[in-house]
Amino acid sequence: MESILSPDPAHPGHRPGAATAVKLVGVSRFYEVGEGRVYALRDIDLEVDEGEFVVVLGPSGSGKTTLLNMIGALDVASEGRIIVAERDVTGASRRELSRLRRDTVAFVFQTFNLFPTLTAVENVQCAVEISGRRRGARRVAEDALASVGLSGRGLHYPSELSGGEQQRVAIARALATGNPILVADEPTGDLDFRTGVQVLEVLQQLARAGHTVIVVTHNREISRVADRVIELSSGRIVSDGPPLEGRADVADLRW
Amino acid sequence: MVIAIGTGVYSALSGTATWRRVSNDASFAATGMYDLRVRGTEGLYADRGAMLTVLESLPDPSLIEHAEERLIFDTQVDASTSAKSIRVPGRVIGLDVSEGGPQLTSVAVADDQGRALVAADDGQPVALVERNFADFYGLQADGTVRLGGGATLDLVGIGMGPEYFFITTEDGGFFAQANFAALFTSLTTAQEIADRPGAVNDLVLRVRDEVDIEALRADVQAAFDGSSLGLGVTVMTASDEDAYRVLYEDIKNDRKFWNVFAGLILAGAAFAAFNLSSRMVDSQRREVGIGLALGASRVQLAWRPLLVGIEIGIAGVLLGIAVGSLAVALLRPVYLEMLPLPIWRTGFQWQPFLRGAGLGFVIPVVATAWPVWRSTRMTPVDAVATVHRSTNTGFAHILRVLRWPRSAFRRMPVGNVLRAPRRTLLTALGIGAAVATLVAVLGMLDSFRSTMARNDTIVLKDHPDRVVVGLDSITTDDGTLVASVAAATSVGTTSPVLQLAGHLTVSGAKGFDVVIEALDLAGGVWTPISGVAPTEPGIVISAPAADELGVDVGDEVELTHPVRDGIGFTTTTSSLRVIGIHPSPFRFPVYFDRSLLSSFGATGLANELYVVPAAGSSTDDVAAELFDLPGVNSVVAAATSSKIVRDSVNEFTGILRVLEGFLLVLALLIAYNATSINADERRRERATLFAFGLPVHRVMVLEIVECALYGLLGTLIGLGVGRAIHHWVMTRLLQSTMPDMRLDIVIDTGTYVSAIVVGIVAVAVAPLLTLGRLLRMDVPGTLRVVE
Repeated sequence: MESILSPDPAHPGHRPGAATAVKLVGVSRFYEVGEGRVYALRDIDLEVDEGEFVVVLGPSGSGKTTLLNMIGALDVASEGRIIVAERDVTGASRRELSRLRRDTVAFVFQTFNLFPTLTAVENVQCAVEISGRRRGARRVAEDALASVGLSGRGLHYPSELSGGEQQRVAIARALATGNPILVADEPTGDLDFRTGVQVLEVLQQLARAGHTVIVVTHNREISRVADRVIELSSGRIVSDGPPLEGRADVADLRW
Repeated sequence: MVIAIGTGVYSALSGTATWRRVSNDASFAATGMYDLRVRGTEGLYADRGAMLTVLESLPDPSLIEHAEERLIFDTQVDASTSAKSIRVPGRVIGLDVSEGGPQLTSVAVADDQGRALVAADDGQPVALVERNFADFYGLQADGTVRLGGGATLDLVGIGMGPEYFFITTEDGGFFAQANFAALFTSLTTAQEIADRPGAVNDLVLRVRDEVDIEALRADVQAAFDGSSLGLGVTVMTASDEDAYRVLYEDIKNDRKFWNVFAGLILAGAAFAAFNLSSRMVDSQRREVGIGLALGASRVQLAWRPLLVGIEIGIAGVLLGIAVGSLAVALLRPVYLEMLPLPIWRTGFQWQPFLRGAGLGFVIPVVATAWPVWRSTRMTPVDAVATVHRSTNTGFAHILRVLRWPRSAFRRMPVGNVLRAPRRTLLTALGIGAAVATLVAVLGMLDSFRSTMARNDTIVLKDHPDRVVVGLDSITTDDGTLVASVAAATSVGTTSPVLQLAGHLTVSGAKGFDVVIEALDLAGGVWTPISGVAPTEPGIVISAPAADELGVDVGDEVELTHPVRDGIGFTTTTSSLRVIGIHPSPFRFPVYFDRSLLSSFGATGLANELYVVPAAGSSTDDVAAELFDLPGVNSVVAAATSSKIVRDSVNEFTGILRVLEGFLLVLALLIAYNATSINADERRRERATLFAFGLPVHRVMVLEIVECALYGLLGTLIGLGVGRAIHHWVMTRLLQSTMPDMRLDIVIDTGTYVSAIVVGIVAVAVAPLLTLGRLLRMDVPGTLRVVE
C-alpha cells in the first residue's frame, strides 16, 4: 500500500529523483462564524519538491497566506493532512509544531520583524541560537550576512538600515537557521522595486543552493522568477505549473 | 488596582492615628481618668479623709467636681501557676468601692474576664489583676496571687485601669507588662495588706470643665505644701501620667512614621499610573492624528483619553475603599493586641481616605493629561504615519559597546529594558518605592534588635545571670537588710548600689535627666567599663550622652544631684570630670565609684544590690528566696530591660507584616503593569520568536528575566532610598521622639533578602500572569499586524 509520504511523480514541477519537501492532501481551513463556516482554503492537494522555488500567487483573500502558515506549521488544517519534511503534522501538538518550525522551516516576513534592540548580526545570531547551535553562532551569522551582501552592516541596528537591507537581514536570519524550507510572505511587499529585486535575487540563489523556497505574493511579475507558480482564488488552487508568462531573470522583471 | 492599593493603604495607615485618638478618648473617659492627682512621697501616709480636707483650703474649692482618696504601694507579686513561675515587681492600688465607686480611675472588666469590684468586696481579700500583665502570662481571671510579706489575694477578674493602659518602667521602657503586676483591690483591703489601717497616700480629682488646670494644679500644690500633712506631695495632671502621655504622644510619632511610608506607597502607585496612562494615550496616537487630519480641535480630541484617565481615577478610588477596608480589617486585631484598651473604635477613616483618594484621583488624570498634551501637539502627518512602535530602540544602542552577554538571545531582555527608558524608570521607581518602604520599616526593627543585642552584651557581661534587687528604702551597705540578702543561700556575691535621679549638662546646654548609680567600679559584681581608675574623682557617662554634650574623657560636666541633708536629700549642682565613657546605647545612665559617695553626703548608702546567684542557683531561685524578705521590693534579672524593648519591637512587627503583604502585592502589580504593556507592544516580536520555533516556556523565561531586571533596578533604587530614609528616621525622627536612646543604624541581611524577594523575585514572577495571553496568541495574525 502506498504511503502518504510517498512522492507523487505526477505532480507539477516534479523533478526526477527529488524528495518531497511539503505535501498537502485534501487540506481545508475554515473558521466557524455564527452557525456557518467560512473557508480560507478548500480541498488543497499540493506537493513541493526539495530545492523547488515556488511562488504562491493570488489576490487578497485568496488564501495564500493561510496556505503558507500551514506549510510553516504556524497553523493547523481543519481537514486533510499536511506532511512537512517527511513529518506528518496533522494533529501535532503545540510543542511538536514548535519543534518542526525550529528544525525545518524558516520564515521571511513582509514587515521584516527584526528585533529592534539587536544589531543585524545579533538578529541573525539569535535565530541560530534558537535553532540550538549556540557554539559558533556568531560566525554562522556573519557568514549568512555576507551571503546576502551585508557583511559590512552587521553592527547596525535595524533602525539604521534601509528596508531592503532589513529584508536581507531577515533572509540571512532564515538562511542561518539551516532549515531546508524557507517560506516568505510578501517579502518584497514593503520594498521599492530596486531593493525588491535584490531580495528576489537572494531567494533565487537560495533555491539554486538546494533550499526549498516558497514565496507568497500578489505580484504576478515576481512569479516569473519561480520554477513553479501556484495560483489561488477563493481558497482553491486554480492553476499550478511554470509561470504562464514564461520564466524570467530577476534582472528582466518590472513592476 | 495600583491606585486602590496606594489610596487604601495610605488611608488605613493614616487613619490609625484617628483610631487611636478616638479610642484613647473613649477609654480614658469610660474609666474616669483623673484631671489632677496628688501623689504622696513613697513611704509617707495620711489618715483617710485628711487629703480631702486639704482641698477645702483651696481659694475656690467648688472648682473640684469630685475627689477620691487611694492607697497605693509597691510590692512583689507572685502570680505563679502550675506551669510557670511568675514573680515580678508589682503594685497594689486600693480604691474606694464602698459606695459603688470608684468614679475616678475605675477598672474596666470585659464581659468574659470576670467581674468588677463591688461594695461587698471592701475589706475582702479579692483583687483584679491588670490585663496587660495577665495577657502576657496567660493568667485566668480566677487565680490567686501572693504578695511580698505573705498576703494572698483571690482574683475575681482581669481589668484595665487608665493609669495602666500602657505599662512603662521607671526608666522609660515601654511595654513593660512582663515585669509589672498591678493589682486593684478595695481601699480597706489595701490598708490591711500594708498593715496601715485607715491610711491613704494618693488623691485623684475631677475638675469642672472650664477650669485652668495649670492654675488649679499650682493652687492644690500650694494647699498641700502649706498643710500639716507632711506628705511631700507632687501634683500631677493627666499628661504627667506615663500611660496617658505615651498613648497620646505615640500617636503623633506614629503619624510621622506612617505619613512617610504611606506617602512612599502612594508614590509607587503614582509611578505605575503614569506608566499605564502614557501607554494608553500612546496607543490612541493614530486616532488623535486622524482626528487632527479631519480638523477636530485639540480640546475635542483630548477629552476622550482624559475621560479614560478620570475613569481610572474613579475606579481606583472606589476600589481603594475595598483595599482600605481590608487593610483596616488586618490592622485592627494587631492594634487591639498590641495596645489593649477597654474601648477600641476602628472604623474606616474617611478623612484620610478622602485625602488619599484626592491624590489617587488626580494622579491618573495628570498622568493622562501629559501624554495627551504631547499627542495633540503632533502634526497630523506624524500622528497617522505607519511606524512600528516596537522599533523604538531607546538606549539599547548602549549594548553595542557591551561585550556581555555574548549570546544574542540573552541580550534581548537587556535591550528591552533599555529601549523604553521612561517606562523602565517609572516601573523601577514604583518598585523602588515599595522596596524603600520595606527596607526603612524592617531596618527600624533591625536597629532596635541590634541596639538591644549590644545592650545585652554590656549589661550581661561577666555575669549573664546578674540580678538587680531593689530595696524599699535607702539603707546602709553594712546594715541588716543588705546582710540578710547576702546571707540568702541562693545569693552568691553582692554589690551595693545607690541609685539616684539627676540632671547632666554642660555650660550653655539644655542637658537631660539621668539615672546616677554609685557602684564599686573596681571590684563590683558589674561595672559599665573597664580600665577606669575608680578612685579618680569623676563620673562615667554613656557615649550618647558624651556625643550630645560634646564632651570627652577629661572634660568637665555639670551634674545636678541629690545630697544627703539630715534624714532627707536636697539638690545641688557639681562640676565633675568625665573619667570614662561607657558604650551603652542609652543616654541616661551615669556611674561613679562608691568611694566618692562622701561628696554626696551618702557614704555607705544603698537602695539596690547587684547579686550574682550562688553556684547551682538561678535568677528564679533568688527571686523565690528573697520574695518574702521585708525591705526587698523587687528582684529583676539584669536582662529584663532588653527583653522589654525586644517584646515591644515584636509587638510592632504585626503591623509591619500587614504592610509587607501590601507592598508585595503592589510591587507585583507594578511589574504586571509593565509586563502587560510590554506584552502588548512587543507581541510581534513574541510571534516572531514563536515562528522560529521558540517554545512558550522560553519566551516566558525572556519575560521573567526582563522583569527581574526591572526588579533589580527598582530594588537598587529602593535600597538606596530605603537606606536614606532609614538613616533619617534613626538620626532625626527617632532622636526627637526617643531622645534617651541612641539606636544603631543597622540593616540586617534578612531585610536585604526580604527586599530582594519583594523587589526582584515577586516582580520576576509577574509575567506568569500574562501566560494565558501568550498561549492564546494568534501567531499568524500577529505576524502580519502593521501598527
